[in-house]
Amino acid sequence: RRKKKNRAAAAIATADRGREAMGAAVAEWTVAAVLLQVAGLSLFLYGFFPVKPTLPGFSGAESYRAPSCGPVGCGEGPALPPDQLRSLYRELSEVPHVYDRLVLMVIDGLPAEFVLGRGGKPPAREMMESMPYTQSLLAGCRAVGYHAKAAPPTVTMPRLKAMVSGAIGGFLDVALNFNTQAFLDDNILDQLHTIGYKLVMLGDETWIKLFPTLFYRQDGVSSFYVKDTVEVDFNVSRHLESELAAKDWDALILHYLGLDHVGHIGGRQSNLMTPKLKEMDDVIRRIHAAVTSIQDNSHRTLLVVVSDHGMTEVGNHGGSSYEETDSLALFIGHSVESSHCSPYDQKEALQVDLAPTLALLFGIPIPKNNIGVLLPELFNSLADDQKLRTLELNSWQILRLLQKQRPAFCSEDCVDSKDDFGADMLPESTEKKLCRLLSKAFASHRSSLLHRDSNFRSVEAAGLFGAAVDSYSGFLRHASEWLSHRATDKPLYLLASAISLMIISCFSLAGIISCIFKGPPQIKVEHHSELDLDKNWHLDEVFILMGIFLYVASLGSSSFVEEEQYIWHFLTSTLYLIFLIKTVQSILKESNSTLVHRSETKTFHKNNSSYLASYKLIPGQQDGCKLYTVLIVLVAGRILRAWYQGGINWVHFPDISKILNQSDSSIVKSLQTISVLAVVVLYSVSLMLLRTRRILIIGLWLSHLSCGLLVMLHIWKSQVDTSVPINNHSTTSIAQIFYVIASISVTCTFLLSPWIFPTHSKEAEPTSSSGSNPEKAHGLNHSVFLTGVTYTMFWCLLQLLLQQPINAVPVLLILLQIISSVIYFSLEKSLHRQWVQVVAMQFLGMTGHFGLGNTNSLASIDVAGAFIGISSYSTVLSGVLMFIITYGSPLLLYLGMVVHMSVKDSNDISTPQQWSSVLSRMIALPCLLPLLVNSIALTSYTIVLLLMRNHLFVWSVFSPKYLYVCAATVCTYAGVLVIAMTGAYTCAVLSFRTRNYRDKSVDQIDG
Amino acid sequence: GAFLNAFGAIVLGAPVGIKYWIATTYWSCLMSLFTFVPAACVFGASKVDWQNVLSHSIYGTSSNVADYMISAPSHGAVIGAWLGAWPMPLDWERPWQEWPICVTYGAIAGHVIGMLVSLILIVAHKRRVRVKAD
Repeated sequence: RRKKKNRAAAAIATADRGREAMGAAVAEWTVAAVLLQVAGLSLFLYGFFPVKPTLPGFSGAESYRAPSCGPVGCGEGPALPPDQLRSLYRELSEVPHVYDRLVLMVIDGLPAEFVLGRGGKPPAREMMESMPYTQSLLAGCRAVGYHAKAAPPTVTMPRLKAMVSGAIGGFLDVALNFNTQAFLDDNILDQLHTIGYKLVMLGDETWIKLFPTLFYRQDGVSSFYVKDTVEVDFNVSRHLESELAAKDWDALILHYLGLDHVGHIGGRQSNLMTPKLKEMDDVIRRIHAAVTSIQDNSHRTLLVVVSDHGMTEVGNHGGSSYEETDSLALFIGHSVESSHCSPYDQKEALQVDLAPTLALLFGIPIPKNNIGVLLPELFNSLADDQKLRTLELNSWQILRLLQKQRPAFCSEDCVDSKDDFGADMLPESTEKKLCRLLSKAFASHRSSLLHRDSNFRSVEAAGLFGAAVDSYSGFLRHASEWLSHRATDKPLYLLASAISLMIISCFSLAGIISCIFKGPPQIKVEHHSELDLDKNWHLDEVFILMGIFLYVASLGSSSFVEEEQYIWHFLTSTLYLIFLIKTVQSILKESNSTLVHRSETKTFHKNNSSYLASYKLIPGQQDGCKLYTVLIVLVAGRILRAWYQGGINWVHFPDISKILNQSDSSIVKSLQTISVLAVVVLYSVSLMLLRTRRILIIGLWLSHLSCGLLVMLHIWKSQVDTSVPINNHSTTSIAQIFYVIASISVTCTFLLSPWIFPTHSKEAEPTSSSGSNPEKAHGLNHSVFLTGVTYTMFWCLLQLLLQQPINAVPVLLILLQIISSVIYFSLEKSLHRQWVQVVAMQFLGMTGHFGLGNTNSLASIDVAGAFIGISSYSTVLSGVLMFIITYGSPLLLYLGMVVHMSVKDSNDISTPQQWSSVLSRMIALPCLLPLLVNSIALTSYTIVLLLMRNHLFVWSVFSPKYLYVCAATVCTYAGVLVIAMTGAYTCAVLSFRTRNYRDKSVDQIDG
Repeated sequence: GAFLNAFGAIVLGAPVGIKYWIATTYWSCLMSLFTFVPAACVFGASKVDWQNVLSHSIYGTSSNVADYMISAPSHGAVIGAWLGAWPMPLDWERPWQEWPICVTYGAIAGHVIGMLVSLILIVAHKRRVRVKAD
């Protein structure tokens, strides 16, 4: 007898091994595909968002010496007091500073076209008339205006940074420092501060965020209320009288937001535009009158009117069209005055040119990472050799930057070559060309100086001077272009290879899945001959494929990317409508054929005890139940959709969240409380379903209850403390206790749940393996169910804790959707294939992601929630919390997938020895399908991004979306990891226990 | 029929509100005109026929010409309305993007296409029957 058993065991073991090998191969392939995808993604990110090397620190006195490679010996000199530093700079620079005081007036969103016209023509007549004073200054040659081309992204903060530092930051620079906004690079404001200038700032609080400690006086206004076009500017102008009268500041920064708001409301042709321009003109007139009235030798004031970006015809900005990048730089001061001028010539400059120009005008070192070129018309009051000196300083600074980026510029012959710059052969590379230009410039500068010293033949000197200026500006312009291209250009081959990697991984994932589909159908057909899954495509399957295709296609349109929530909601609810239709169909079909089949099904039910056990319902109720669950999903989805009308274009639509925000906070609190209670009750109900009273379960229930209480406590506390600063101690500690309890109980469940359920509770026949099937299956299912439910419910509580108060009900609704769809799928095994169910769950997750108010712009990330329960500042922790908040819903669905697979498999298991096959069947699809769908989305979106890299909205729409897609990828990895870990661990423990048990029983029998 | 259609539309995201009630009602009446009325005219109160139509996909299986005539245009109307909803969230700010205008256009277009398809199907069917008869 024992022999027989051994042989059977051996046979099973070989089969087992075969299947194990297949499972292992699948796992390996999956891991390989995922790794490939990660590699491709990081390559693409590296290529698309280049991080260029920057020079750290601030430039000091060394910027007045010629650059040399190799280690700079002197290092930091002793920190001088501001006055000495100022005189040191002025002595070293050999150029007198041109101005003493600076008024920097930033008009947000003013296109240069309004002031300077376009293409050599003066601006439209109404524009001329709306800014009479400015136009009179321009016509009287007392001001000089430039079309200062701004680099994308044309939004305020990066543009301000570019203006003051002269550097063009990458996109990630913008996106990734949402928590540390203080500007730490070298910039002219800090330089002015170090030489003892007193700075006053009035206007947009972005400046205060950038330079929190710099200003002597400040009054920030928020740009949050876009509808407000009057108050924002009045709040700046009200200080104007006193500030202009005061003599204690050296630099005054005014930032007017109103014009941008006008543009956002009504576009360029808005009828609010003319009064707003008149207002701005009036401000310019007042400032100019004030600064000219005290024009003496120690108060020479420069008035700079700049705009940070332009606007499109409809008033938006962010992209890289001419209308958006066409910003203004208008200089009003004594050094630009001349006798004749043509103010409406198209004078092109870069926005970054402001930084070196101002730095040289005020006698401070040029910021280190500047790539701008000084504007020569500003230096008209200087002598020729001083002008050359300014050009030389600018060239030295840029040369330093070049040396940092390309060591080729370090070679001495680049700087000092005295050879054939006369022979104008075409240089082979940009570096060589730049070198040649630079050496030519230095050489002509030297000879010009020599000439000046030796004799005063003015014609020749002027000729040499002109040559030097030409070659300097040639070098500067080329170098600046080259550097800015380095900041914005994308290496195509790198991106293409990254994309091909991603495509390969996508295809291999698809291949694995098709392998799985091809592999086990024999088994499936064997065991589920009753299933009416034929080889034909069903409506829902066709729909899912088509839906994914439509979604991918919609990624190519910026408007659809902006309004992605509509797409997901539409797809998901259509999918569930199809489920509804199919259910109705099947019910009708059943009622058609009931008379024939009733007896059969009855006997069948009787035979298969586990099948019946999982139903627990008579067929009539079951049908109703199915209908109700689908209806619940649909209705909950509709409410979720109504909760946030969101998106980017339709933000102003009314929705429930806005109504709740405006209403009394007690309603929100009570809604929150209700949802916490509901979560707790749902958890207890689902624990009751297990029908066991083990200590662990009771403990779990208690801990969950206490967690719920803690969350409630936190809610009420935070309601009381809305007036005082948020970061008070008690709420923090409550949140921390919550984290501890939740993590402990979840870990305990994860580790212990496979151990507590009986594998063989009432086994009459331990030797016959088939007899114990249901019990084992139940052990597995129960433990996975317990783990999944615990995951889900604790995750819900965590979300309730972290999310904004108004999001409490959406969280509950998503939970309801999960539960009802799990119930639906468990009741409705035959209608839908498993992959349809998994994809449906994933669709729900994405819909919920947008239902929680997320959009595809970075603005909707809830930063405030990321600091709940963190006592000290930590980027990593708050980043993790932020991720949890933003991706709460997809992760919730992945956790719900654990529950789903526990319910799913209840009758799939008929060969319980083969734990690996159970494992592979259980976790393969829930793991692979999300990976596949996500990788399809990721790959196609990457291609879209590559194709759209010159699109108008690439910075404002596509790139933030790409960050979201990357985060979703991470989220998928995390979810899949949890699913796989849970499944694998549970199966391993159970198989271990079964083997122990079997050995024991065999021993008993033998004994 | 109208109620079912209205439910479907609202679940799929049609705006709910006093302002939109009338539009939704009109639209769902139109949809039921396309979908339910022809079926009701033919089937009347016969329960079996309804069940047959709802529970089976008739393409390729049915031998009845009337089935094609009813189901293809109504399916076409539903699919057309579904597709017609896609341009709604776009930011073109055209007047026809309002609910239910473009959905209605989609439904009508789908209905017409469905009629054409049913015509083709009927012709094909007839030919097949004739071949069989020969």
